[in-house]
Amino acid sequence: MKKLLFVLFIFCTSLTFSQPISFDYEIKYVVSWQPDSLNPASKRTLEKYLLYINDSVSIFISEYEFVTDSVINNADRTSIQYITTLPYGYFDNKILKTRTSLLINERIGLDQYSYEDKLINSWKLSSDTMTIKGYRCNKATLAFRGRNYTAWYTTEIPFSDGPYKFSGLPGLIVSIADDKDHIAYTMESFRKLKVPRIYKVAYLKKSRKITRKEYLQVFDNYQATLLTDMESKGVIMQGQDKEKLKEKLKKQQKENNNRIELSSE
Amino acid sequence: MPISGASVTITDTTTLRILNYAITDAKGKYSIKIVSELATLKINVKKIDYAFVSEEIANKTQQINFTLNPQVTELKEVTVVASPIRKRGDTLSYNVEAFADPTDRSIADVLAKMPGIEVKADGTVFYQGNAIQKYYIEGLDLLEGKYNLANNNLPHNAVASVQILENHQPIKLLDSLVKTEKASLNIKLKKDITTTGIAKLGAGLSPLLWEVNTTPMVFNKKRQLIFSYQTNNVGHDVSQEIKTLTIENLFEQLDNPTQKTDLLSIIPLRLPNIASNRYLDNRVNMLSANFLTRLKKDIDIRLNVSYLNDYQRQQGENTTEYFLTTENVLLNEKISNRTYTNDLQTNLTIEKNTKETYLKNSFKTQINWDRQQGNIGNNFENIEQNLANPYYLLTNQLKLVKTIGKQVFTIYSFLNYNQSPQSLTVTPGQFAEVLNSGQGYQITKQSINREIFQTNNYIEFTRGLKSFTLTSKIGFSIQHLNKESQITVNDTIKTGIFENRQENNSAKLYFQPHLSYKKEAWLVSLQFPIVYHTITISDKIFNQDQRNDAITINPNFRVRYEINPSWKVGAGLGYNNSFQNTEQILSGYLLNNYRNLQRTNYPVAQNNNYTFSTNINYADPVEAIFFNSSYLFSKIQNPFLPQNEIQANGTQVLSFKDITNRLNFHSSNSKISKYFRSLKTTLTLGLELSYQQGNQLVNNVLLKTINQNIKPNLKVSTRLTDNLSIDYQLETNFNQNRTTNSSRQSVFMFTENLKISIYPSPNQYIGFIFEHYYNDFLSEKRHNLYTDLLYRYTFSTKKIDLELVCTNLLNENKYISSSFTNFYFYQSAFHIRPRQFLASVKFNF
Repeated sequence: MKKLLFVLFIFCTSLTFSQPISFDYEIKYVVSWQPDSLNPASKRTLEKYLLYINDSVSIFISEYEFVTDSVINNADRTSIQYITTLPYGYFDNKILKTRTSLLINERIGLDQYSYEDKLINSWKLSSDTMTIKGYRCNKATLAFRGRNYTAWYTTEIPFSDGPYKFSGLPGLIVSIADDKDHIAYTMESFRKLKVPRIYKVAYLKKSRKITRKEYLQVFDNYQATLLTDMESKGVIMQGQDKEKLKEKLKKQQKENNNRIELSSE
Repeated sequence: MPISGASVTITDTTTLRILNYAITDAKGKYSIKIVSELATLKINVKKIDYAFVSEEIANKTQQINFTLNPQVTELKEVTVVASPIRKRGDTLSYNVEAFADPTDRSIADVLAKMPGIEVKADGTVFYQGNAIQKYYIEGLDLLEGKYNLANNNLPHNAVASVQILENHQPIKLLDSLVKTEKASLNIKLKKDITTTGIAKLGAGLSPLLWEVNTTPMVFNKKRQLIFSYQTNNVGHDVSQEIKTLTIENLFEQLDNPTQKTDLLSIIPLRLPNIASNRYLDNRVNMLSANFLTRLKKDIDIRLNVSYLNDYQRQQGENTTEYFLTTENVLLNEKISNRTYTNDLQTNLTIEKNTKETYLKNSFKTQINWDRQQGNIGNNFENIEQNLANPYYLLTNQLKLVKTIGKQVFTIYSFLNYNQSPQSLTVTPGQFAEVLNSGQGYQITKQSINREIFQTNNYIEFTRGLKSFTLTSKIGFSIQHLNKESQITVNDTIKTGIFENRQENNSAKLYFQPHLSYKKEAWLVSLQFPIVYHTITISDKIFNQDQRNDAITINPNFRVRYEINPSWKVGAGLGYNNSFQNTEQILSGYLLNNYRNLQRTNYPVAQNNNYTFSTNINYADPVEAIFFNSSYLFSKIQNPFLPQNEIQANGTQVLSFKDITNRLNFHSSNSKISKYFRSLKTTLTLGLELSYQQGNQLVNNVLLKTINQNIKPNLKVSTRLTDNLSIDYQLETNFNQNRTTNSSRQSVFMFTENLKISIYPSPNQYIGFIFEHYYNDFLSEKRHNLYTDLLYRYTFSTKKIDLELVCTNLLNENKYISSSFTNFYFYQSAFHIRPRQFLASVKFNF
């Protein structure tokens, strides 16, 4: 029954997002990420991530994913070939926030999944202040799923929002990083859009609605079955090259051992 | 109207420090708890597009209501001027030295570290999450997609910079018409001339084994060369390395086959269904040279030349049992074959790529002078076969892209001339009853010369309207085929029915529309090719002409539907009406091989083929259960039935009878797999079923034959720890064959395959392979066992690979395989390579 209610809930949320949404403000974040938790040298700057906001809803998305989705949604069908050439984001999750809900969509392998998560409300305010990019910012800290974060938010931009799943402060999060410095989001630009940005949340139609617990399970399964999966989908790996390829993939998985959320609570 | 989403903060009146806050809910309500010793506090309410409200309040429990007044809020903005390097269509340049570490060797190692660039395990280069489409060296595309060769072997210290060309359209003509987000990569070299390469050396026992591969390359700004020489006798089939593997080229092969096909043969041994390096007894030399030069701006000339020389030996035994109505005929053959391959191929490509035109012309030649020698000992005698099977080919292929307005047209033209003057001699002479009025004789010689000239030309364009896409192709093809053959008995040329002189002309005019519809969960496709054929066959020996004109329409309909993310279904329906085997028509006899004297004397005829297929897929990634199942039915109707006349000495004569032949074929394939997290194991179960029913005429008796296969299979793969993985596979086959009036024959076989991979440290690999083949129809040898051991060590700092391989540890000497066809049982024992040890080292220079 609980599951049914949950499914119903997600179904309703999907309905809410079936119309194109118009956003008035755009925030761009620079994201720095260390994919190998044991090797600080693996740290890299990813592509820009966008936060689009209007009065009631916001979306956090990689700029590549945004371009790709916009093209697919508006494509005329002659350019199918063109679609296959579009880029995808390093983190391909797309996060929709409303005042009461948090809906995450993510691609694992070839499939899309969406799950509901809890809004964050356990911030601890601090008296420290700092001026970042000309905004007067206040400090807040948060323990979230295995990492301790320090965030700087500004009440000068009165949106209770921020990058990734972070929100719930009395102003926009300008910068947030964990204490190990594995992940950091820093605002690069903030502007009001002269022409509102229209985005259609079309992906929800195609994605599988699951719980967060199930999502974690799918992720683990995929990591373990990646090779078998590739072979069953017709990727041809021959003889000794296959062994070398497997070794390389193994190495690659090992070097990408880090995750933003470390605990499953 | 309540205002939600307003932020309400309580601050210190002087320091403005935020003590606590709340965001108003859907009803515009908020509540804030404050623990503070201050007497007065400040409450502030902020909401975008409303005027800011702030007032001082006493520190006590209270309710304060606000009314916000709309007011356009101008927030302070920060913008970043886009860095010029990121502009569309611009070039991004990376300085290689800045990214290189002392441990890096090839340019691929350095690429992986450049921001935005990723190198995948298989070598594919990604820029901003997207595979690059072209890999240029100094702006030249020498390798066409096979860029691993350069990327892994070009030392980074030879490279000055790596350039990323964003939104790069390689066909300049399409630049403004077809958008692309894809990037291309260009390697800028430091020096005008760069010489580099890779080498692999290996040696082993026994007998003396060698394996050498040396691939030097030279690059400069206008000319590039990659040269490769490879030789081995360890069973490594190097001819794979000079094959073209791009999809585009494979499709071209289907439409316009230029592959060598032999008209005569020596009796082959069935090749074992195991890795070719287990059985291939070779001595191969391969030379390949690839050269590219830029003539003027936008015009490239590329020349690829390859020469393959190979000497291969095959040894084994064949057993064939024919099921006849009267009595079964058993034929045992001991076979020893030698093949000598000599193949020289050249490909000259000119590509012109300007804003006005895209033109690519490839001119190919092939000279092949293969020879084969076979020795067969059968129930009665020892037979020598000598085959000369050369092949000469000239082809030209032209692709031109043009635009009229915004519509893109592709014009394609293909020309081909090839010749196969082949001959087979057999000693002692065969088919004495037919060829030499029952008298035994010395030598039979069959010679044949086939000449083909063909051309295929079409124009193609695509139109899209909302969810529909229509692709149309209009064109024509012409084929002229000349065949001459004769049989010589000792020195006497047999005339009349034993010779052929035939001219075969066919032409096709075609229109091929392909309509597809794609929307949300639906994908529907309809093909409706209309072809006008005219075929003329003139026989110069019997002065007979036959001419056929016909229109064929072969519709094909397919649909796919996604019920939900877990379930997908699809179905297809097709009808195909075609002129088959007109090329095989011969009114006189032809000795295909020493025991097959064949006459294919039948009129040009159309055959009908109906197919229906359906499939269903299920995926539950949460529980990690995957299932798919497919079914195929096909019904083929031929106006003629093949007639096999098998003679007492095991030889046969093939002709055709005017009886409609119907063949029904059903097959299904299902697979289910599940990943067990706690055991880190994937289990896969599969079942393949097939059922075939047809007719066969054997010695003037009509036989109805039924052949069925039931093949269950199982696969377990587990990765117990990071250092150990185990794969096990079991495939079984229950094969049953029935003919109208003989008892059923059944065979049971299975194959077991175990592979253990151990990674003791990151630069070491130990592999153990165990294979077991079993069949129940042999009395002497039911089990075949093969074992291999492999050890590899990589010096990570120097990028040298050291490899030790021991194949066939148990020194198994034969591989036995068997099969049923409609009316005979066939079994083959193939002599495989003995136990061998090979050590090799691979390095760059």
